[in-house]
Formats: sequence, structure tokens, C-alpha cells
Amino acid sequence: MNKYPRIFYLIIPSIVFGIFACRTEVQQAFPKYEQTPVLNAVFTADSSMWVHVSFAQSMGNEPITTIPNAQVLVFCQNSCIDTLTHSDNGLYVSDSVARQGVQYTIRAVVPNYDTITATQLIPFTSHVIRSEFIPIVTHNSEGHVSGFDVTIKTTPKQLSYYMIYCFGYSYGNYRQINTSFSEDDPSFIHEGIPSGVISNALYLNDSTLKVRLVYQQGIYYDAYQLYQIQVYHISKDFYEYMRSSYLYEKNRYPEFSFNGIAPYNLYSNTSNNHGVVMSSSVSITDTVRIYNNPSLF
Amino acid sequence: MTRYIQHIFFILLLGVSYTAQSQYNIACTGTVRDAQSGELLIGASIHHVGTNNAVYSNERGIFTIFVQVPSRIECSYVGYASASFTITSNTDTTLTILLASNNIIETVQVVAAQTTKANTSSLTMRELTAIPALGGKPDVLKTAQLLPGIQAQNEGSSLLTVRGGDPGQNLYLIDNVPLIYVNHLGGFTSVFNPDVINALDIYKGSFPSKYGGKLSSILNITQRSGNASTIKGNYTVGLSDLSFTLEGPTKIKNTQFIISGRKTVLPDVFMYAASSISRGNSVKLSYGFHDINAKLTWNKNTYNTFACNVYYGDDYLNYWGKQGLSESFRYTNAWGNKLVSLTWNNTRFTKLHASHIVSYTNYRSATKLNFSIHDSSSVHIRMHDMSSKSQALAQSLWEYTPTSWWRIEFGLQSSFDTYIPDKRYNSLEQQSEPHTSLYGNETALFADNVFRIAQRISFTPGVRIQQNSVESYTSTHIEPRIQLAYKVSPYHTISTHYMQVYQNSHMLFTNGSIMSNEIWIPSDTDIAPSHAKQYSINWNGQFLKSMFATECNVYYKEMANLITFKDGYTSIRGDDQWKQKIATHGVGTSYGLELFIRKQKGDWQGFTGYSYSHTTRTFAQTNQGKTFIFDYDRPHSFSIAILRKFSDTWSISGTWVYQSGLPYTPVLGRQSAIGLNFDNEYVVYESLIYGERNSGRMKPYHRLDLGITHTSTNKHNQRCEWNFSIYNAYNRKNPYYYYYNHDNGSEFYTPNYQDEIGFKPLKMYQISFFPIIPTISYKVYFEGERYRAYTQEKQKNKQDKGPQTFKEKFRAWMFYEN
Repeated sequence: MNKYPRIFYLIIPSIVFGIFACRTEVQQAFPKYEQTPVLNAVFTADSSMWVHVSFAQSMGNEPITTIPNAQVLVFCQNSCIDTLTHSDNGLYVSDSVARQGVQYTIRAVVPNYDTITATQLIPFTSHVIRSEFIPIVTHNSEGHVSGFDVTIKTTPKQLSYYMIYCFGYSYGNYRQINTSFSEDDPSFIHEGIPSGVISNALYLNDSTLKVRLVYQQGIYYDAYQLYQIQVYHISKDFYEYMRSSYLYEKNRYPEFSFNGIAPYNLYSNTSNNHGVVMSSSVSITDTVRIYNNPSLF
Repeated sequence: MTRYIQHIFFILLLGVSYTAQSQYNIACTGTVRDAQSGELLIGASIHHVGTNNAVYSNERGIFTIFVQVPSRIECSYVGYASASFTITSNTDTTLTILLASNNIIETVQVVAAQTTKANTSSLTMRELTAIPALGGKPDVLKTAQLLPGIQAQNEGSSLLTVRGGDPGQNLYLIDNVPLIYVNHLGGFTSVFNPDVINALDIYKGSFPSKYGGKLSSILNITQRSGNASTIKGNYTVGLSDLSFTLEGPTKIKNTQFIISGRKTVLPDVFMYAASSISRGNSVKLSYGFHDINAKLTWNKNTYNTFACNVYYGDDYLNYWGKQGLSESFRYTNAWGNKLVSLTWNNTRFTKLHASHIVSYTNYRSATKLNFSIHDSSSVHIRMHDMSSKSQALAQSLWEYTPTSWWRIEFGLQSSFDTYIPDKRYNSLEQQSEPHTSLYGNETALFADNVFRIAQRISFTPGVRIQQNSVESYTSTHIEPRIQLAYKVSPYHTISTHYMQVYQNSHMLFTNGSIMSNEIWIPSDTDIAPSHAKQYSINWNGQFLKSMFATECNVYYKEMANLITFKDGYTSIRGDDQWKQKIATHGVGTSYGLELFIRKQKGDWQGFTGYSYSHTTRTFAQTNQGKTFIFDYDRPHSFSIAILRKFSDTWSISGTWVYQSGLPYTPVLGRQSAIGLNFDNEYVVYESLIYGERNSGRMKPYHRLDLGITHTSTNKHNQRCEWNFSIYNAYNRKNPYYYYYNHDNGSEFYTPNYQDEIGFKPLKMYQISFFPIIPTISYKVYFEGERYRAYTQEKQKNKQDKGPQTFKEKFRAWMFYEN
């Protein structure tokens, strides 16, 4: 038997119709964008170098055009130390590895276009000198939050930037755990946005930086007994790019009723303002064994 | 500053030396009221018959006119029969003029100020109550958005942008007391209940010097005092909310009250039902708002009136539920205002009137999370997050009219402000987290002189000296205000205006957010007070025996020290380092032309307005320091509103709005970019290249709203109104914003090179809200005296006619009543 009055079924659709938005395509031609080479690269210390070269172009129905015939040169102290070879889809690779503390200049020569250049200093590794497991940081509606207090060795009076990841051992592999910086962490608060990167700006005169990573635990989340922590000491360009990337993504799809739209362009450090070349060096802790993880019991 | 003060004293001395030329010998002051209800009539004309000497009652219903004895005075007000009388007294006189409504219908059709003041928009009560807004009910701010120079922030929003100003640059006053937050439902409706409004004036420029602290507009609402002779009221049932109004005299002599309240019902019910009906969903959701307006007025004697105003209103979004067998949570998000004020109006002296007001206003936006685990561990966690602004304000306003050619308004205002941009509490932390409470004081001295320096010329120099201090930061500003008006004929006036104004508190808001989207922050050493200068030329005229009132304004406005979010940021909530997200020292310019025609007599009434405007902003920290089009710039704006009363039973209304589309930041092209996937591997994906901020413009906005009202009498002899209205009658899909995706689904897509599902091209889509929305509401008016008379008459008829129904006949037969 139908327990709701008929009016209920008449009004509900009209309310829903009114509340939910209508999405329609805007029949408007995109502007023509002058084709321009784009240079992207990430140099990681002690890893082989790679560069991606493609075209910036108008919006269209085909994927972005990559450039297979560019000449990509790597310079160190004004001498060319390597010429990268094209592998696939605009990706150029090298057998040589990037070294910590060395400044490299990438020069990409694309026929009929101005040469693009970008320079990058590979940061030194910042080692983790202490990591402490926090079984319960706080409770919440999904269970509880666990965390790590990670202390990193830093160079006093040198502004440095970091990304920190945590991996848990499961089924024979280390899998990345969805960690974030604690919202109460002063360094995180100083950043203003949760872009996943952090700096030592608040503790510039100190020789260490202590930050807290947190992650969700509960009946729907995996718990681990073995952990590793990876610290990426990243360049300023890497830091700026990650911040711009967060703002770019956040504002690309506004959530109605929660935030508006404020389009944001990605950071660039290349000579033609298209693409980014950035660098990092990684430090991985020894495996941390946790004996008192309440999520395991 | 010294030079300014010298100029002011020179003007004052000039005024004193002119006194000898006065030809009038007595001052006549008083109030104009509705004869039945005792309600003050604001903007009533008091005219010395046979001369051009005329004045209008001010927002407190008070007037002062200088006349020769004996003289014939005529008082008139649209919708009322004129009254005239002769003054024979040789001394200054205080009067109360009572006007009888032309309309015999019980509801007093109060018509707001018909005097056209330069740079000032006003709405009649008929316009306010007959033009339906979104949801089918009239709304003050929505109707105000139909006037030239006043625009909506976005579709459905009550936030106003006036002459290129930010939404936070408008001062909203209820009986001269500021209200901080003016929206319900995220701006879909405003907090002002039309049932309690007596008059509404919106100053778009040339602010009287008693008003300050906001750059763009002053919206002054005068509340009704309530009916002085009988208890009456109304209640309304609408799709969005229920509302009621009750007014009348109290048992205390010369005291009357009005109280009005609104409460959403159906949105609460439907959202709760929608979240409950879907089986397996343990989360319940409800949204709603409520508000209450009350005013108690005591007319102690002819000279002294005391009033107490109370406003309380909140919006709330709650969701609650259970997780597993033992966990439960309740999340509450609430935001709103409360206001209380006491006013004393004194007209003891014929030429000197005073009004003293003390008030307290508070706005807060808060979230609360209560979480419990009901097992052996028995965990209870409470987390709060709040942003607020409160203001304790004392005002003393004086009006002195020593001669017929000079009037001065002066006074003092002082407020104590408390700002809490962000306050958090977590019960696990044992104590509240440290938060910043900023305390400030704002004091202003002001004076406006109105000189009639010739038969047709009036000159109004004014000044407002304002001191602001927040913590250790102090600033002092002098704001000159000057008007020069030339009366071309009794019906046409040309005037020029200059105004400077400073704003010490700044509003940051999140465009598109319906929850807790306004945060107020004070000026300090990093955030300087905003500043605006405005120049305007105005023509006001009336044609065809005042059947048509017209207005034309040209203005130019410069703004400095504006603030906004830096590129990419939309909120500062929960962030102690919020100043990092704010771009300061912004500069804005705006210029435009406004045309307005109102038909104020006859069967067909209404108005039409057109405005052209151009507004820009420049911030060093955004858009690479380049000047950009203001976020809410709409160059062309046209509106027309028509009201027609066919009979006592049927009336219709219609509005049509056309506006240029809002600016947006377009995509120019695309390029490869680097990202990190969840496995911490680098991927190359397709990213968008945006052009300069606001360099594109969306499709034009236009909309037709229709309303029909049917008035009848119910079986209790109460007047009832059925209102049927259609919002967006031809279902125009107006763009709210543009975005880019591969289809119009809600799943967003970013093409990348490792994509296994293949490349999908991005297209531009628009989000549109508010399609055609038919609504209905039912309003019943009741009145104590009429209802008593009706029931008595019914009893009498019964007695005369004897038993009618079977039950009555049976009863009469049974008990031998025949």
C-alpha cells in the first residue's frame, strides 16, 4: 500500500528539478592558440634524466601533438654533457643520472621555433633523523587518525622545500598510504593550502624540521605493521609548481555550494613560459616496525 | 585637515550671516501618520498653499516647515486623501497630521517616499509586495536588483553590487541600526520580511554624512511600528516557508507592537525525506532558516517616542547519522545575525529634533561536529569552528532647522567592534585552541548642512570625521560630501555630487558557496581601510502631473585599498595564515549611466530602468598585476516591472530582466603538464591554458517572471490572497558558470597519455540553475475588531433565523428551545 499522499510525488520532482543544476554544452568556438613548444622534466637525484617535449595548441578533438624530432641537450657548467634520445610520445631519455648539488640546463631545439631553455639545481638529500608513530592522533566519524612525527635534517638559513610520503608493507610490497600533513602542524598551516608540499620557512634558523603526517584508520582502512617514510627534498620550482597544480585542479571543477571558481594557470620556469623543469632528491628511511598499532587489533 | 575645517566654518558663518533675510515667522513641526493605524508616513509632502514652500517628512516621519501666519498648509501622500488646515498661532507649533487612506480595504497601502532624491532609489510597498521573487514570495533585495545601478552578484543571489562595488560594501540598516548578514538560503532570499517594512531607501551615492563605513551603498529600511488601534495580522503558507505577522496596541497606553516571523518547512521536510527514503543511507540531511522581527513602540507623548527592535535569524544545514553499530555523529553548520536596539526620538523643541540609538549586532558563522562511540570506550568528541563579527553601537543624531533656508543634521556615532576571523575548539585538546580576537573602535562625528542659497538653488556641504582603531592600529579620515542642486522648475531638478567614504571592515566571501561564505576582517597595518571617491550628475523630473517620475544619473567612482582573494583561493576558513591568501591594496574604477522611469499613477503602474556601466579592478598580486574586468561587471542592464490591478479580486505583475553576461576567465589553449599519480609516479597529462582574468563574457542573462494574485474573503470574513507565480517563465538556461569537460556528466575527466580509455576532447559546458519554477502561496489577513464584529453578527443572524441545520433543529426540538 502506498503510504505517501499523491502530492508528495508531485512536489518532490519539482523540488529536485529546481535544486539540481542543468549542464549544457556552450556552442562557442574556442580561440586559436598559436602552436608553441612545451618542455617538461623532472630530475631526480641518482635517477636517469627524462624530458617531455610537446606542443601547446588550440583546444581540439585530437590529443596534444608531441614532438619527436626535437634536439634535447643537457648542459652542466656551460658544457653539453648529454643529448637525450626520443623514446616514445615526446619522451626523451638519457642513460646518465642527475647528481645532487649539480646545476643542469636543458636546451630543447624544435625546428622552426625558438630554442627553449630551463635551469635546475638538484637539491641534496635531506635525511630523516627520527620518526615516531602516533597510534591515535584523534577520533573522527570514520574511526581514528594515526600519524607519524617526522624529523628531517635541514640546513640552517637555507629555505628548503619537501614532500613526504609514507608506505606500508602489504602482500610483499610497500604501498603508498594516503597521508597528509596534520592540520595543526605549524608548517602546514603556514603554507595556507594543502598542496602536499611544505617548507622550513618557520624554522629557518634550525637544523631540523619536525612535521606530523596523519592518515585515516578504521574498519574500512588497511592497517600496517611495517612502514617506510620517503622524504623528497624538492627544488623551489618543484614547490611552486605543486602549489599551482593544487590551485589549478581545485578551481577547475568548482563544487557548487562549497567553493567558487577562480581559474589558475600552472607555474612555469621555462624560457617561453610553457612547461616546467623541476628536481628533487629522495631519502628513504629504514623499515619502521610498529608493535602498538591499535588498528591491527 | 585644517583646511577642510576652515572651509566648513566659513560655510557655517555664511549661513549665519544670511539669517536676516528670513521672511517666515513661525516654525511648524510634527509628524504625519496614518489615521487608522497610526503608522508614520515617510516622505509625505507638507506644502504651504500658494507658495513653492514644501518639505517632506523624513525617515522618522518628522517634518519642519517655516510659514507666515496665517497660512494654509496642505499635507498629501500618495494613496491617501490630502488634508489641509490653517495655522493661526503666532508661536512655533508642533502638530500630528493624520491622513485617511483613499483605499477602504483594510490593509493600509502605505506608499513609500515618492520624492525623487538624487542618487537614491526607492521602492513603493506595492512594488515590494507585488513583485514575486524566486520562491514566489516578495523579496526586498530581489526587487531592488531591478533598479538601475543595483545588480545581483549572481542568479538567485540577494547580494547586491552597487555601481561596481563589492557585495561587502553595502550598509544595511534597519531603523538606522546596521545588520551584518542579509541573506537566507545563500542569498536566494533576504532577511528582510516585507510585512514589517514601512519604507526603503537605497543611496547609491552622495550619502548623507550620518551614513558611512561602507563604500558603495546604504540600504535604509524603516520598520513599521504596528497598528495603534486594533490587533491584526496575517499568515502565509508558501512552498519555501511559513510566515506570520501580528501587530496592534498593547495594554500599556500609547504602546503598539509588531512581530513577524518566518520558518522554512518544506525544504527541511523534503531534504530530510529525501535522505531518509533511500534505504541503506544512514545519513540524514536538513536545511532551513528562521527569522523573527519585532518592534515595540511607546509614544510617550507628542514629543517623545521610544522603540525597541529585535531581530534574530539563522540559516542551518545539519546532517547526522550512525556509523556501524556504535558510532554516531551530528554535524551542524549555522550562520546568521542577531540584533537588538533601543531608540529614543525627541521632538520637544520645534527646531531641534534628536534621535538616540543604542544597539548590538552580532553575526556568526559556525560549524559543530559531535561524534560519539557508544561502546566500552565511550568516546565523545566535540569540535567547533567559528567566525564572527559583533558591534555595539551608540548613536546620537540631531536635526536643527534654525531658518527656512538652513538645516543642519549632525551627531556622533561610536561603535565597539569585535572580530573573530577563525576560532576552533576540539574537546580532545582539553582547551580552546588559541585564536585571534580583534577588538576595534570606530567613532564618527558628522554634520550635513542644507542651505537654500537662492529660490532655486540649494547647497549641501557635509563632512564626516571618522577615527578607527583596531588593536594598536589607528587611522583617522575626513570624508567631505558636497551637493549642489538647481531646481529648473517645480518638477525638475539638476544636481551634482561629490562624496568620499572610507570602509574599515572588509568582507571576504566565497562566490558560489551557500554556506558560511562571509568572513569579516578589520583594517590593520597590513590591510588598509578601503576608500572611494564618487562624482555624479543627476537629473530628476516628473511629467504629466506627476504620473511619470524619471531619473538620470551619470557617475564616476574610484576605489582604493580594496581586498580580494589571491588567484586560486576561495576561502580562508580554518587557516591561521589567512593573510597569505588575501590580495590587498587593490584599485577599482567604475563609471556609468543610469536611466529610470516610474509610472506612479493609474491602473497600470510600474517602472523601467536601464544602466550602462564599466568596472575594473587592479591588484598587484593577481592577474600578473594587470587591470581586469570586475567579477560582476555587466555593462548593459535593463529591467521592466509592471503591476496591474484589474479589480479588488484580481491583480497581476510581471518583470523582465536583461543583463550582459558575467565575465569569466576563458581557456585559450592546452598543453602537457606533469602530475604525480597515486603510486608516486610522474604522468604527463593535458592541462588548460587560461587567458587573462575575466577576459571572456558569458551569454546574456534574461528572465521573465509573472505573478497573479487573487483576493477573496473566506468563511470567517477574512481577506485571503492566493498568489501564483512563475519564475523564469520561458525557461531560459542562464549560465551560472562555465567549465570544461568531455561530456555533461558529473564525472570530471583529465586526459593523459596513459589513458586506457582513449582520448576524449574537452568541450565547454555551462551550469544553469533555476529553470522555470511555478510556485504558489496563500496569505490570510485577520483583524481582531472585524472578526469580533463578524462573529457577533453571525450569532445575531442565527438567533434571528432560528435553527438551520439538522443538528440545530434536533437540539432545539430536544431541549424545547422553540
